[in-house]
Amino acid sequence: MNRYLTLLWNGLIPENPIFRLALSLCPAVAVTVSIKNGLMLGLAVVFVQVASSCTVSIFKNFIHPRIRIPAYVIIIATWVTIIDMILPVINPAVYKDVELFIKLIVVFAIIISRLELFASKEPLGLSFFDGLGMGIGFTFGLCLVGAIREFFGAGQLYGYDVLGFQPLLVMILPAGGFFVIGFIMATFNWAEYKITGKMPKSGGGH
Amino acid sequence: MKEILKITASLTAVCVAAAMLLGAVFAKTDHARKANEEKIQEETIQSLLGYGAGKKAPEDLKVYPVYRYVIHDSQGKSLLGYVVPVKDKAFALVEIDVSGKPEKVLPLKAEPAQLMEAGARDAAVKAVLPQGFTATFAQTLFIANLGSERLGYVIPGRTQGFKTFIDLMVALEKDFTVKGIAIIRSEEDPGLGAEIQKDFFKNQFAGKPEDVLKGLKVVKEPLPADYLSVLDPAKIKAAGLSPEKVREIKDKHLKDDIYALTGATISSRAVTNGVKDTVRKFVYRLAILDQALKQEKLQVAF
Amino acid sequence: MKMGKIFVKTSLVLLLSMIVAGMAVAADPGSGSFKKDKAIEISFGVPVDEAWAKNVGNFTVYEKPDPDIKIPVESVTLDSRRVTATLNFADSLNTGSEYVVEAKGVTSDGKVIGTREFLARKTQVQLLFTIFLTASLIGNFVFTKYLGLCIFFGVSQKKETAIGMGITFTLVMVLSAIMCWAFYNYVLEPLHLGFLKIIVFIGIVAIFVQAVDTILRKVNPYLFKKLGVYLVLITTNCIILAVPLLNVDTGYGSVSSLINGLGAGLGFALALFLMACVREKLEVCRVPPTFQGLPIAFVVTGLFALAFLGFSGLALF
Repeated sequence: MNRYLTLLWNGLIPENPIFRLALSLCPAVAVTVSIKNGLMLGLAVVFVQVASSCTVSIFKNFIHPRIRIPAYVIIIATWVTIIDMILPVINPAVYKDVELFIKLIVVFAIIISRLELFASKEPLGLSFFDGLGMGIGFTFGLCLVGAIREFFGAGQLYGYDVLGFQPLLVMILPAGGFFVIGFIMATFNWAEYKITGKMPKSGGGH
Repeated sequence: MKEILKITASLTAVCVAAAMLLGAVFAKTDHARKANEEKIQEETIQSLLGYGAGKKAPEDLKVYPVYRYVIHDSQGKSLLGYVVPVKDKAFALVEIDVSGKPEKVLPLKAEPAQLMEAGARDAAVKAVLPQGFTATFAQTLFIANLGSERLGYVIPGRTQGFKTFIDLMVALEKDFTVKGIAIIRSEEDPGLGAEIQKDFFKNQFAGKPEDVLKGLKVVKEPLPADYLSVLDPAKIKAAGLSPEKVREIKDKHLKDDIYALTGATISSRAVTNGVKDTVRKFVYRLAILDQALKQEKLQVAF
Repeated sequence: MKMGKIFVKTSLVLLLSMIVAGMAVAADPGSGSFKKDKAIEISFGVPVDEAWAKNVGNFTVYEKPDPDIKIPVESVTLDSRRVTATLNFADSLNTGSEYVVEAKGVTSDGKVIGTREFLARKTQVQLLFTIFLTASLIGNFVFTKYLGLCIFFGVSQKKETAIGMGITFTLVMVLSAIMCWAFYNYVLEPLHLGFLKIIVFIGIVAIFVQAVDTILRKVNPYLFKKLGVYLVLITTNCIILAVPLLNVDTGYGSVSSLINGLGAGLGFALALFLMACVREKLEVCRVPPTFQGLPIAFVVTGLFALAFLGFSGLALF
């Protein structure tokens, strides 16, 4: 049980896909104009990540090592297409906003790297929680950026008017997304420095 | 060699499994997705006509879709074809030539559900046309009746916005006064052009009579404070304005041009021109259609 | 660097020729062109009688999709040779749409030579140029659509790598755009297998990249050494999948898809290059420790995004 919880925590802060591993940044900027959009995309990613991790973990002995990358891509693409078909039925309004990004989940480096590093080697239970942890960390990242941008850009939180006016319109524009993520990354760096006394070197960005 | 065969077999197996799984999910969800889209369209139309969460639609509200097609005969001559519902749940294709003269009326064999689906509807229309004729779907018009009394019309339209297309819907009263507009789809900038979806912009169109609409322009001025307070239903509640006061302010600004959104003049113009065009073309075509139906003595359901 | 220079020069020549071609008024008979948005110009090829031309009743104008809505012509002016007529309208025309002009009973030197039909619209070159401009600048995939960030931050540290990646990416992008379009329109659509497009597109890209990798390895080892490492990274680039998907959703034809891919690739290359220039300078600046590396890169990208916002209203045609 302990191992599972460690994996969940891992994806949330120490190896947060967005702020520490710097993977799958595209949606982090684009979709996070509001918490709702970030939440919806994040949940879709959780679904695809967990489903793919489990599938690969179950079939890891049947996939020939030489074709493992194409196989991973096909598995991820299948689950992405499935969620692409199910989401418009569950929530058409949000689907319209995140439509293009759902389709692009296929190229999220985070998913394929998790499969390569973890799911192809570890048993089903551990893979499930690793995928869940990474997915939740990703969703957390999206919601955090979304909250900051929505609050400062539109004066709202989850669609509810909080401020009654729009302080910094630039927050909703792409530039704002970049700024916010840059600052949050710096904050994570600073936090790690305070805790461990070492200055971390940020990931290469994928 | 054996190695390559194993790899190929493995890859093929994965592909086939994936394709089958996808096919199954597609078959299950496609139907639900289409049903969802129809429900949303129905809700939008009802809310444009004044009914919705707060005011439930009465039993005798009937919305009839009329489908407009552009037909080309074998020589390239064009005419218009309207798929109209006639008495006793049947349908007919009314052909009108481009100068407004009715040509002929052909009975259409189809179920209402069939006509809602684009592919089936195109096939049904093609079936009654002679060889060599092509029909292209142009537009759906919605005619709303309360019992046997005309309530109004809802017409979809499309206009070129700042980024890409803006799909909108205009609801008209019986006398072609604008009842309201709805923005169905737009990809304008959030915070700027996307504000066309907000009530305070859309509600400027509500109540404008046809003659005011004809000359409607967009002015780059800020909304007068009193006008702004009556355009947003939430603000009306918050300010505690009485219905008479609201009516008075709305009448005062009835003949005003549309006040553009800050930093989104192009989007504001696009919506205004889109509404003007949609209404102008609709009124022109409806007159011709009504004339044609009278001349052909066709008993329509609306 | 030499390759980079050749690349830049060729693209500039291509761009200039497109602009010039777009500005040249369409001269072939049967097509008309817009003069601003209040007039249409048509050319008969022969001098026509002034009396006939000035009579607005001889002209019928309508938008192609709406043959039943006639647009009234306010006045007609002829040029000095009486070969070209300009039809003036009271209301603005929609230059994004196609207009049909029917000239009834064209009279030249007293003889009626028949009825002529003209189609007025933006020329193909003008349309393509607009697509190109949108894909590369106005809707730059990195700065306004936030795609391709994955690779963007990794590769933009040095000018050399940025150019290398830019060139490789543009080539792969253009060719995959065409292949995906062809496959979708000739195989998936007719068989109603549209929902497989995500898998198929990524498959096409992966196979194509693998093929280029193998071919380049054997045919030109020098080029492979320079660009090979970027090829693998391209497969996980968001843009490479986004462009074919957008082409399908917008219903572009083959040439439009190609131009869209070209614009996207060049826009990405431009973004990479600009970023690399700045980052090289950043390395000798005093950046606070917590910001070093990615955080400051993000902030810089934000500034670029703000700058590119300035392209928003750009429209040459």
